[in-house]
Amino acid sequence: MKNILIVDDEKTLLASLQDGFNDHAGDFSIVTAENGAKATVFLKSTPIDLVVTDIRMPVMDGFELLAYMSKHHPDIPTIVMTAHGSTPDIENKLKYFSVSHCIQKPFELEDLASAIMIELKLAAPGQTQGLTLSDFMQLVVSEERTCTLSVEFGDEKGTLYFNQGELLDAETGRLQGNDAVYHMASWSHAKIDIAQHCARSEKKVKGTLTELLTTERGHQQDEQKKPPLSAAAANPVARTREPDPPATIQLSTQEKESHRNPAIIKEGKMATTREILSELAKMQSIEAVCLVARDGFLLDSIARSGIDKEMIGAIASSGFGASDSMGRQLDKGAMQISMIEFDKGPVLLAPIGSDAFLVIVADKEANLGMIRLKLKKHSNELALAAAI
Amino acid sequence: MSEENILDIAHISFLDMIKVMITMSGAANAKGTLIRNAINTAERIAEVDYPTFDAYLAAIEQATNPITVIEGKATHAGNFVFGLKLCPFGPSIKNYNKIFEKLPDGFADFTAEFNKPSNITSQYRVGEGAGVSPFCSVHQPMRSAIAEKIKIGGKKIKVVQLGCKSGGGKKGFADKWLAESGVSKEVVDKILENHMCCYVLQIIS
Repeated sequence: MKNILIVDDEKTLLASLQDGFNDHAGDFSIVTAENGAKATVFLKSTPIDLVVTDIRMPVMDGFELLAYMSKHHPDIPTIVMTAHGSTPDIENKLKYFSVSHCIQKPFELEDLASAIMIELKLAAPGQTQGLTLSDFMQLVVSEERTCTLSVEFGDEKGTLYFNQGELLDAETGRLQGNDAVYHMASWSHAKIDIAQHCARSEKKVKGTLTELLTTERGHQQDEQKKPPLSAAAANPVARTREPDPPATIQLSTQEKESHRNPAIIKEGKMATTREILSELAKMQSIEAVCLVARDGFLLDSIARSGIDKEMIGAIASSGFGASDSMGRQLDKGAMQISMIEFDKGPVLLAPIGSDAFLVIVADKEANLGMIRLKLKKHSNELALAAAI
Repeated sequence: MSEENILDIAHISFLDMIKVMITMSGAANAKGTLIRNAINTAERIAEVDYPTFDAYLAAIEQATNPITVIEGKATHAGNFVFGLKLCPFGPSIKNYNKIFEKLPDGFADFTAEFNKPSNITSQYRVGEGAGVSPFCSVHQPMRSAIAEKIKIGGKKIKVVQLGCKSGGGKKGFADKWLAESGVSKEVVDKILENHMCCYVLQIIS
């Protein structure tokens, strides 16, 4: 049985979560704390497998709790609850934030349950699981915090200065400003201290944090000098040149290791399209995951044997195009996800960048909530990885 | 009423069907569908191995060369660069324009989509600016796919699209493939003065 610690100063919310999660009593049990300070007491005395925390709390807030965990419990995965009004500005700030690490209030009970189940499933004993430094910084931005972050990663130390959510300056070793941010962005799981003031007044960092992190991901990709797409993508119509499909969707030991940490930037390296597709294919009841150019030609895919992936690409392109066109004709804006349910299971289509889309073919036992969460979490990462 | 004014409903339906495809599922999907169709057609062509390049050229004159069969006789301008006098879709376009005065809406978007860099156009060395109408997305990949069925002296060949000219005289050049093949733009421009389509044949050792 897994122990989940939920930290929030809203007693009614804690009570309703405890009641609501009775249905999941076979999966995990709930303990609650009203602020960060009480949470640390639990963390010292009780084995906790996952922490779900609010940010704005009295006595010791969520940031201080996360900073405490980064030093004392870096192996415990975390989900952050934010309580913003869902303005476009806030949504934009959260765009690059890992969805499974962040859930916006108000939320449906089942959405939080799905997020918890995903994190528990992905968590591996003994591995660093908490927020990455990038995640932490983006949370500071989205919460419009004024603070100074002192960060340690191995032998390196750095400092980040935020004023009302705006990153003013950064320094580490001899690096300052943008260069320091680029360098520190690859510190996957650092020890963080937070001071509730900003010791800088002049903005020396050029651009927003999101812009800097996006640029950094691009830099990392360039440095790896990997082709943006798989070998299969170079010859999308030549079946004989496609890599042989696995007999079943089973990951190698190496793939399993690389997927335990769901963060896209792992040890300073950016995940490849294949790694992200493998992450999606790991979900229960998934038969095929295909990254397809909008013209219907396959870019990369993982599928059970016997599934014609090129056929999926060609036919799904019509379905995706039709859904997208319908949205435009009805003035419904850009397409997010299209799902078609069949007798034997659903097929989901989701745009990836402006030139591709993802097809997920599942059987009828599939957890649609989890698929949708994963899609939201990985779509931006996939677009960056595939350079589309 | 002269026979010239009789509508070729096969052509008209094809052109209008492209428009429907663009409206129903977008230019990218329509482009992919037409390219897949062209490649599937090419796959049905029998393989052939010419003993020499001269034999390849002779087959063009005899209209037995598989590429000639789908597009008509091309002229060899030297250094393996070819020009095609007539666009195989010319009669369709002419027939349509005669009745409706202009091609269907959405064709410009489609042409832009074909010219965008993509894996499939890169694989067949087409597009990249060499498309001047939606029909190029059928013709150019089909020719390149058929070329994969042809050998000269036991060696595979590859066709690389260099440029194309619309019925209105507007020229399009595939700068990427010009740079890669080493054929100068001036040479292609000159060939397009008297031809509608220009490509280079490469013998792969």
